[in-house]
Amino acid sequence: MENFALKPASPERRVLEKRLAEFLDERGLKIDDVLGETDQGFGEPALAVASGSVLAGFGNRRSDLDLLVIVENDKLTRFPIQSHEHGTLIDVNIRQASAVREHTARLRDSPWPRFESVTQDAWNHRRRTLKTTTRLALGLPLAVTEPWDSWHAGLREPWLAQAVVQWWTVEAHRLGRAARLLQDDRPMVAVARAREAVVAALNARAAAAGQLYFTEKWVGEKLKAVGDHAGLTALRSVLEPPLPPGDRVARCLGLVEEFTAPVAPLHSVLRWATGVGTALLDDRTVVDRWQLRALEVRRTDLPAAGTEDVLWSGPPDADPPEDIQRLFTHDMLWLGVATPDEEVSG
Amino acid sequence: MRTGPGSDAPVQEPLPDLRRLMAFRAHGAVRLLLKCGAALEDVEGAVSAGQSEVAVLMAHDLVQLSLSVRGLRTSGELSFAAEQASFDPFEGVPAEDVEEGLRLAAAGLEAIAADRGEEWLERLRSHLRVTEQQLDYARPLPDVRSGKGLMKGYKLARTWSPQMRRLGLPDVMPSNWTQRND
Repeated sequence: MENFALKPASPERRVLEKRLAEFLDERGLKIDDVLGETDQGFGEPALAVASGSVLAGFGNRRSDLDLLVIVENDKLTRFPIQSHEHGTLIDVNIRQASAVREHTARLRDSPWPRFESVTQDAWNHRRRTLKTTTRLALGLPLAVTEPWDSWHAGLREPWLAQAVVQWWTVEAHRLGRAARLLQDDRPMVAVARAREAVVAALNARAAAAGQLYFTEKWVGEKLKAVGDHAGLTALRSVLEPPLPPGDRVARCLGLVEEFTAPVAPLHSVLRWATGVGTALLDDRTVVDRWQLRALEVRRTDLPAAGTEDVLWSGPPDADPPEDIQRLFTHDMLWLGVATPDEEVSG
Repeated sequence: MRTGPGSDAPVQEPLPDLRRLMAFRAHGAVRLLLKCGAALEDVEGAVSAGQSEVAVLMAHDLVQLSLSVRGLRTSGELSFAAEQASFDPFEGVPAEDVEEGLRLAAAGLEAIAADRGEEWLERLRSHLRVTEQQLDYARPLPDVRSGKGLMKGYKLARTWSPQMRRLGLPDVMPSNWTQRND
């Protein structure tokens, strides 16, 4: 992945200023209106960046402007703040400076994906961090204090492009793996997952061609922006209804291979999903999710619910034991993929 | 009301399981007003800009989420995080409704190309209305994309949160409204 050829993606300041100006003009707003929103009473902004699909060049009439504001304040939640004066036109996101610095450094410096770090929480956290970091990197700085200007410039180095391509590549393989595990018992779900795998692969391809904007739904516009006609044709083919599902999963998995750069084999890692409980009853374990759905497994050696223990891991072409696979197809397990480590045989 | 075999005596429907009922009514409503509402807005914006692939991709999301709300009534899964690769949005939904939903989402490619995007959008809105009718609330759910609607939705979620806690069900309040910032 490190050797993957990446095209430079840093947008020019004048392009960003033009996109912002057009957005504001069309809505009768001024740049001072946006600057006024940087102070939400959480502290002086260390860095304020206008961002989102509008700045990425994909905005439409329903798009709002994202304003990311970094402050030195450790008592924040992610509750979205809507501009009081400008309705839903400006979404203000206040971010904690120390957390942004720390998470970005981890994104840049820590090897990924590893067995120990592919829990559901960690996966979700990495997705959010990539979204925030790319928005900051690709957006237009409106207010900046030392040393955040040099920190912001560091986001436009090749490491971020590599991290984005890697994320979508790994995600494509993970979703493809899920589709394969689901296709016998839940063919319609397998097809939906396979479509998502192709969308992830195409996002990786667009990122490698310079489209780093993270949000996956824009994949069609990203492919158009880089003139990727083959990618666009593939996208349109997986948006067709999979009726009957037939060989759709196999065709999608073929597209994933075609559109992603080769990666080291990623092993499957299965852990308990959120909300799972377990109860031992004589010769069996009753596994439930939120105490709403339950499944009996005739074994008593499963890890306790609530732990991050691995139930099973294995290479790409291996299937888990039948009872572990059943737990997966009934949505009781979380599937991650990671570079190989000591396997858990299940 | 049904009658039993060999008898004219009415057979009572069994009372629903409390946790399932609350999951459907409360989590289903929040999923519909937050997630489906946002997806519909994405589709509307993309149609107006002629971004047909964005529109149809998000329509697939919209239909899957809408169907998953209906499935919550019987056997659908409560958690539907994007990173959960085994989530089945069609669980508890009749096969013909799944097929109809998939055809509806995909029809956007042709509809937008033929300048019939608005007609297609109305069919998507209708899909959401059917789902909302199944939730069976007397008043329409608030539109959380407006400032006023967001506060109404927030109030609704806050009112339901203690009920979820009592039953040990996850909070209806979106986690990104309550978790520490990152």
